[in-house]
Amino acid sequence: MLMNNALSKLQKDPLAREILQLRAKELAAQHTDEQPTEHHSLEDFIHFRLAGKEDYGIPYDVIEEVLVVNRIAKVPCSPAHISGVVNRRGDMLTIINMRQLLHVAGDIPAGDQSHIIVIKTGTLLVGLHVDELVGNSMFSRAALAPAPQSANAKDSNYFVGIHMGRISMLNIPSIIGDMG
Amino acid sequence: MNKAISTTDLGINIKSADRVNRMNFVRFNDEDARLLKELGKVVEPNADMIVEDFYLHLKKFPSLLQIIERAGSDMDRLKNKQKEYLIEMFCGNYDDHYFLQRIKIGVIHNKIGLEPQWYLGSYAGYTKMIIPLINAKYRFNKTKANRMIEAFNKIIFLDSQLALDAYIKDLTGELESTVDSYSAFVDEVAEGNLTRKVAIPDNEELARLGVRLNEMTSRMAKMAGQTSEASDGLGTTIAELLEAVNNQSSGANQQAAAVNETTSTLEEIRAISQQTLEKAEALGSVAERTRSEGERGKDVIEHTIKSMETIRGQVQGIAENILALSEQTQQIGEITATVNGLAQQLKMLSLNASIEAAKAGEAGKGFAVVAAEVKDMAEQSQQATVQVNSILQEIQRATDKAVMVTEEGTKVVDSGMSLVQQSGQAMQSLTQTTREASLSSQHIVSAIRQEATGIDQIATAMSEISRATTQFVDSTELTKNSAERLEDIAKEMRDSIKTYRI
Repeated sequence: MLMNNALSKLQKDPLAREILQLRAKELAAQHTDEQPTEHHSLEDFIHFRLAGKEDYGIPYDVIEEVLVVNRIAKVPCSPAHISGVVNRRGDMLTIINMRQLLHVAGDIPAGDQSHIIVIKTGTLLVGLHVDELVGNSMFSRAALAPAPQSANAKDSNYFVGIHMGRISMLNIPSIIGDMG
Repeated sequence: MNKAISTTDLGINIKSADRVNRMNFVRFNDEDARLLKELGKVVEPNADMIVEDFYLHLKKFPSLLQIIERAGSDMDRLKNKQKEYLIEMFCGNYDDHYFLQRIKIGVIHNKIGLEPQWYLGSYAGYTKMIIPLINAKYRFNKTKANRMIEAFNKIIFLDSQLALDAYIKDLTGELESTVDSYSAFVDEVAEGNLTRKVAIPDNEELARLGVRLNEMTSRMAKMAGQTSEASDGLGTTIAELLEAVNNQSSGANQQAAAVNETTSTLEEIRAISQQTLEKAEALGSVAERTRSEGERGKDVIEHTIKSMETIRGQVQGIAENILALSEQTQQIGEITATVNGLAQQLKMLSLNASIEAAKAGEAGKGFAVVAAEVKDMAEQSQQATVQVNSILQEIQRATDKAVMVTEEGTKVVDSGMSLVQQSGQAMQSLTQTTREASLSSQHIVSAIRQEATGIDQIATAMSEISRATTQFVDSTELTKNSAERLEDIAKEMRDSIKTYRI
């Protein structure tokens, strides 16, 4: 009976079944990789949240600083994923809407305090507009779970891996590079 | 006229034994009768002469003639009668019939008022005429002549005895009949017949007595008539008196009945009045109690109004306090918001500090620890502000609720107050009304008391009247009894007078 119930809950869709099988293999392979990760050093990352439920992390190596701004000035004729620009100590900083970028439904709620994560890859300096800055924490690249196969994700290169099975660690250079 | 007369009519009845006895006394015997019969043969031829002589002698006495005239007789008739008488004297048969005839003659003489003197005297005339005839006839036989004279004398004595008897009998008969008639008259009078008058007899003395009797009877009749009239009048008067007394009695009885009825009605009225008084007093006490209750109610309502006003003030004070508290919590909220903002900024700062420390590499490690500490503190203070906020929100909600409740309470108190004021007004008017009712009932009670006193006075007067009426009825009854007795007496009197026929 239990078996019947459990089987009835299995995905019927072939794509979903394939993704689930891949994830199972990855999870099965993790045990062999866990041993060497214990020697890897821990890295800091900034933990943020979108739409109140999706948790993301950005490693410190690309982060310049975090900002709380009162107002984001909108730029006309800009793509949907550009929130606008802010004045950062006299320099103009382009702000990217992370919900648009990561295809998370809905808009970031407008408030007098917008949380911005300023990142720098190469010479490019941009601000990522997020719903909420949760804080900072530490992660181990070796301990990261592989990024799940996702229909929504354009490219699994956008994610470094999944920290603690919950926080998706973003591959910022890949994302920004694709933006071109 | 003499034919109808019998011995009983005359009142004389000579029995045969009596006749024989008389004849024996004068020694009249059969020889005498034979001698007289023999003598009759001598007398008869001389009878006319003897009668003539008798009447010649009679004419010498005018008073005697007057008697004869008054009797309505004439000489010739008398002479015939005389002759018959004379011849009969010598008939020789002296039986009962002879005696009766002789008595009749005496009676007739007496009737015409011829007194015995004349009658007896006439025998002298007979002897004067007849004795010479005897002497002449028997002049040679003296013995026979003497014997004949003796017989003649004997018959004269017998005849005169009988005449005298008739006279006496007639006289005593007249007296007796008069006495009888008087006696009968007196009896009749005694029986009450006063209408009759007694016949007045010829006898002078008896007539005087009769006249007196008649006078007496007429006077008695007059008196009886007067008495009858008087008793009639008395009867009428008594009847009137009785009627009046009866009327009076019935009137008095009616009055007594009316008085009794009035008294009983008065009793009822008094009882009703008493009940009314009790009810009015009860009403009065109830009204008084109601009044005092009303006063108390009024006090209670005034007290309630004051209390309500106090409650209202207190509720308003509470509302104001709560509003003030709400404002203060809002201020606290603002402060905590500020604190929260500061904590967030601090967190951002700590994040940036850690980023900077990471950039510094190995040299920034210690700084990274400090930044982490700062971040923890910022997060803690943020959590604290969140808690404060939630508490503040709860407070806010509670105060909002309290404000609402107090507003409602104020409204309820307001409506309660208006209700209480209304009931206060109602109570005041009720108190006023009950006060008036109490006053009215007191008036009623005093009025009924006065009425009861009046009724008592009337009742006393009625009982006086009743007593007087009863006395009146009793005395009327007595009067009635007396009048009835009087009527009986009058009736008796009338009855006794009725026995007299006037």
